[in-house]
Amino acid sequence: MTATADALQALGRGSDSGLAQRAADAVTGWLSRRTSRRGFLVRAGVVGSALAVDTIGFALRPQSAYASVCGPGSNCGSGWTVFCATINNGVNRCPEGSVAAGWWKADGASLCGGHARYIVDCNATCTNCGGGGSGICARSCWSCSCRCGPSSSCDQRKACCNAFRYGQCHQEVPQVGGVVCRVVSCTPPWRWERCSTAPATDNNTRNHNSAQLPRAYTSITARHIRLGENGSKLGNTVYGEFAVPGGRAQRYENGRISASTATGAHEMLEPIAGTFVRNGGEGGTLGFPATGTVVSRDGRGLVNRFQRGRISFHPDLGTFVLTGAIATRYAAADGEDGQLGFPVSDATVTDDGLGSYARFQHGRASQLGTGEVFLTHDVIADAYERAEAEVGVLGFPLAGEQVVASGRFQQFQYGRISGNLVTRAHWLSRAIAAKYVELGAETSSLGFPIADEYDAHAWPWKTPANPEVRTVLFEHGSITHEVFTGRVVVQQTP
Amino acid sequence: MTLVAGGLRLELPAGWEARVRRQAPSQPGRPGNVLLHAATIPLPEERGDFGSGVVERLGPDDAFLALFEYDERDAVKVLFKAPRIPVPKPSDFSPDVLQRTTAGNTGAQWFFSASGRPFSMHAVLGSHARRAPGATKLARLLQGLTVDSL
Repeated sequence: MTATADALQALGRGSDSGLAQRAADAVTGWLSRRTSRRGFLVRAGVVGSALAVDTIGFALRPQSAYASVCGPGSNCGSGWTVFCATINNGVNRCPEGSVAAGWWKADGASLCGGHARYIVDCNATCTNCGGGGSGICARSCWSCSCRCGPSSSCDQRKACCNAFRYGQCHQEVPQVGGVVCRVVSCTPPWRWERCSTAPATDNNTRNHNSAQLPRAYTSITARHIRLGENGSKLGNTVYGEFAVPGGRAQRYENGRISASTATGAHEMLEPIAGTFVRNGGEGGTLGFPATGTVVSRDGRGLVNRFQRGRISFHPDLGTFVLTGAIATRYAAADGEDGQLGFPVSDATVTDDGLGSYARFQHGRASQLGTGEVFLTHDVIADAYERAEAEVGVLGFPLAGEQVVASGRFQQFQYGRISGNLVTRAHWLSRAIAAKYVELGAETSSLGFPIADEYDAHAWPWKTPANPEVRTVLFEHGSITHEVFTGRVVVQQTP
Repeated sequence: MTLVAGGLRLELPAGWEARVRRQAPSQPGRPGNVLLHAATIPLPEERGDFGSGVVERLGPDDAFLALFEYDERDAVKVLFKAPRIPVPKPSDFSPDVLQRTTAGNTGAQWFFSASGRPFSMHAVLGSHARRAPGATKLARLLQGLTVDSL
């Protein structure tokens, strides 16, 4: 008989991950030299995962890579409990009818980059049970029944069989049922669940895993951890990482993280993530995210920038995609926080196919062909849209808005828009615009236009008796263009 | 033999081995929680806090006990409302009250407070059929346990 009192030193964060990784690399190299290149590549996904989870076990013990993905003790008879992701549609969270009831950690876990990996037990809730002081209600009251994990998964551990409670979580609940399943995290549970901090440790579970969970510590895992992991706005993982053209991606309850060598790993919150996927995802026009999701200055909108574009969301407006030069120009104009505000349309090719445009809360961006993108703002943009914008009589803008006299103007392919605080902005086209410029435009004695150009004989059928006569009224006169004759008449008012 | 550590005092009966440690705190500045392990078999160095690595080795007449302390402020929670160290009874044991069900083993678990400190106690016996003498053995062990307030 012995009796020992040993106050053990705190276990430092494991430093064996580098060793494990080197071992994985070494075994990978060994395998690659003994199999055909094609065969090796085909198996590389599963084998790589197996090595990341259980380097030594996979290399030295005869077993399938698939079994090694789930780690030791993965069959039903092992007595361990199944992972929630395995039985909860890939979602790493306590399923309906269960509650986080306690946790433990496994130190030095390669799945957490060599740091502690936390395992949270989700215990069944109790119904129609009274009294008792053990913390576990009678089996007849459990909201589930004992079974094995699905045969379709290598994680066939038990569900709802073990009547055990770790006890650090939801201590306000006097009794829970058996352990339904286990949630995993690299982030301490008291940061994202109602749990206390008393640490329990069981390193025998370090390499337990599921094919429905991430299978390796990657830049995506690291990003999720930095964001708060299970407690982040992204929420919990939904299945594991997967390959996408040029990189990898991971789904979450409320978003996605995508990673490439060029961009690193960045998150997209919903509804941006859904819009991104509908637009082709990483292999589509946008490419990989170049930033994480950023909250706009008003605190309500969300924005992601991508290699070749941008997605903006505002709860009052919707989610819109900007690509190419329009996205670049919008970013240079301070994006959602700038004068244009949020987009209210995607970047769209014009109906005539000559260019593209995007509409915003307070303006518009237009691009003729692959030329420079010009912005129109506020009242000038309103006037431009009244003239049917790019496909209307004015065509595309040729320059940005310019200040003149006591107002502003903007030049278009076939006309002009002018305005000031008193007159607002109005459009004039072709012959009238040319005459107006000839006279000195806004600085001329005519002043600013006070209405959009209109057809003075606006009866639908044009006849010799009812010719088209275009007119613009100004602060101090008018210009009329008789289209059939080409005559332009300027009238000054005193 | 008497074991004194972490505010626990245990008079160890013959045939038992025990170890106590103060856990490394999860957060800096907090006191580490105390963990007591006792078993009628030698305790391996590598063992989970609730007995993995030990309970698989129990013979039919062997027993393992883990006393796990929670954060001091947890003592007011309803889970720990039982006010004293429990006395194990054969009827407390069930083959599914285990962190990991193992053929032959049977277990019991209690939550309680003692001297204002919150604990759970998990006991594992090597045989459900022989739970009566096992419970008696554990009860005798716990007669020698006292918990001091912090």
